[in-house]
Amino acid sequence: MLFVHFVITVLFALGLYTVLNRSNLIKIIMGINIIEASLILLLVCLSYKPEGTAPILNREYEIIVDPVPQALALTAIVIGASTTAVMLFLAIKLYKKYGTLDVGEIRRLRG
Amino acid sequence: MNTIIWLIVCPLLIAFSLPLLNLYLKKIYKAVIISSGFIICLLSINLLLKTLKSPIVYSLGSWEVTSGINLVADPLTGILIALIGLISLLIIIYSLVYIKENEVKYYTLFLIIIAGLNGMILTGDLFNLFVFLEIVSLASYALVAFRKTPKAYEASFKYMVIGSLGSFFILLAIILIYQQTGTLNLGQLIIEAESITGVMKTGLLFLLLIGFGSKFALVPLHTWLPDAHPAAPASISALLSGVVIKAYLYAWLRILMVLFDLKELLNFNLPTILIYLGVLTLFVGHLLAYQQKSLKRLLAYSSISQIGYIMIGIGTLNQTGIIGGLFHVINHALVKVTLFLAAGIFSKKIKLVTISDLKGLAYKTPIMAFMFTIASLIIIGLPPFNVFISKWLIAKAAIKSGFIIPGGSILIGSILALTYYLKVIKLIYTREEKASLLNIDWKFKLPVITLLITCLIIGIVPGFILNILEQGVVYLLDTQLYYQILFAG
Repeated sequence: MLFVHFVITVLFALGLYTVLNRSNLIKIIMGINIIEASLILLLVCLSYKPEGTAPILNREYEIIVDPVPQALALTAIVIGASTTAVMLFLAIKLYKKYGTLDVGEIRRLRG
Repeated sequence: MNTIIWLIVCPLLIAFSLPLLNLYLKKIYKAVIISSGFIICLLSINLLLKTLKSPIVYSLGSWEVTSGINLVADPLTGILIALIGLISLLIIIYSLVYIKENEVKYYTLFLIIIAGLNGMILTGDLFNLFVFLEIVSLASYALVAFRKTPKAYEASFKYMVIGSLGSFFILLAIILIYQQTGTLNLGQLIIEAESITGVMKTGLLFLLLIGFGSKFALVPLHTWLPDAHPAAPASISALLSGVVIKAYLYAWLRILMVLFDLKELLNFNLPTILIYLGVLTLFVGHLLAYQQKSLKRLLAYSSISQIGYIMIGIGTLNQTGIIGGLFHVINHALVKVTLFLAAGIFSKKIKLVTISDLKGLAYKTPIMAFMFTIASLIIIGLPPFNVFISKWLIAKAAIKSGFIIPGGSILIGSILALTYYLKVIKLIYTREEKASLLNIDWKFKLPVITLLITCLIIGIVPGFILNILEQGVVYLLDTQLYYQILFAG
């Protein structure tokens, strides 16, 4: 469990670093997706119980995993997918206009 | 019929049926849009009148209050919803003549924003709040890029990067809250929040401040706003500047009050942090607004500075301060929408690139120029108007809690605002050689005049709004009462 949390922290920091430190639009989008993945991992990790089964309530189980974080994870995935779609659309439009994906270059061409 | 759920369902339903209507029943879709505006406005006023009698709870899908998603309306949410209803109706009327291309996309996204805003303010569930927040954010990113110019795409991308990072911080905070308490219901959180450890509470406080701060343009995180708001069409800039950032602010305030006791917040020294962030926001907004050459950018920076005033008011964390802050939210929403709509009319009628193009406007459109002048006098905070009253309340609360410098900086901020708005007013009233009267559609005039008259009425009888706010703030500050709405009703 500690290891998973460590991985989540590393992924979050990595994504944040990518967003703040890279000037390529696609890499910025990838960074945002990495942060999102780390948060979804945290949600899944939250609901996990050793030897737990699916929360179907018509049978009797000793240990069930928590269903709420899984529902949240699904919602977060949907939101993340739509955000990524809009961002990629904007990146395509900017590339068509300026012929480059570099943020600094775009700012320079705009003048 | 239950009003509260229809406020979310109605705009969503119309938003997604508009593309279909455009395919098959092209003749009636404009009528549908106008009537939807009226329906939303009437529903929201109906909700306000109901909440004044007693707060309302609605459980989605008739689940139990503890396990389902709830919508909660107290007088404070009631008045914010009524504000959104009124402004959305007027912006829809304005857009009928302002938006000429891609109308269906525009109205679909616009109605999605309205549904999201209503949901964000009404919801009683933390994760549901996040979903509505993302709906509003995504629709506003798309609307910022609506003009399809490279500048708009760029502004939208910038807004999206900072906005998404903000959302992730909010999501992280929500996940941590769930991990610590095991519930997402705002009512249950009031009780369960005691089990959160001290270190975690500090962490949550800052995660929420960074997350929501980047959404409502608190100063170190404000850089997207001056690009994004002017790049959108004027009607959308009005909505974003006037209502959307205020809704984020309200959501942040509600979560803060639910999670933390007032005493705890005072122990964290939160008032000092918030008030000095507010002072910073105020000065950065005003000083940068002074240097702007474009009218819409000037108005956008002015919005940032007004967030500063609201933060000073809320940061005092006492009743007068929060009432002053929320009163300023309402006043600023009304005035800033007026100013942006008027600026939109100007840019439609004359070639408006820099402020100096406004020269001699008063002799071309005397009525609109006069309205713009009155609106800018209101936002500066001159005495007989409504913004003066809210600024006065904020300054009084700040000085009363021992923050003399922030109280004084409100006065200095007003003087700074006076300098740059006077620059615009002076240009408008400078006579030019050739001046012919421009013809302006009544659909342009009606929203501006209505909003301005509302402002003037609030300025003359502020007691009406202040009474409602006083009733509402009780539920915000005394969380036990909020708990009772959900569980003892």
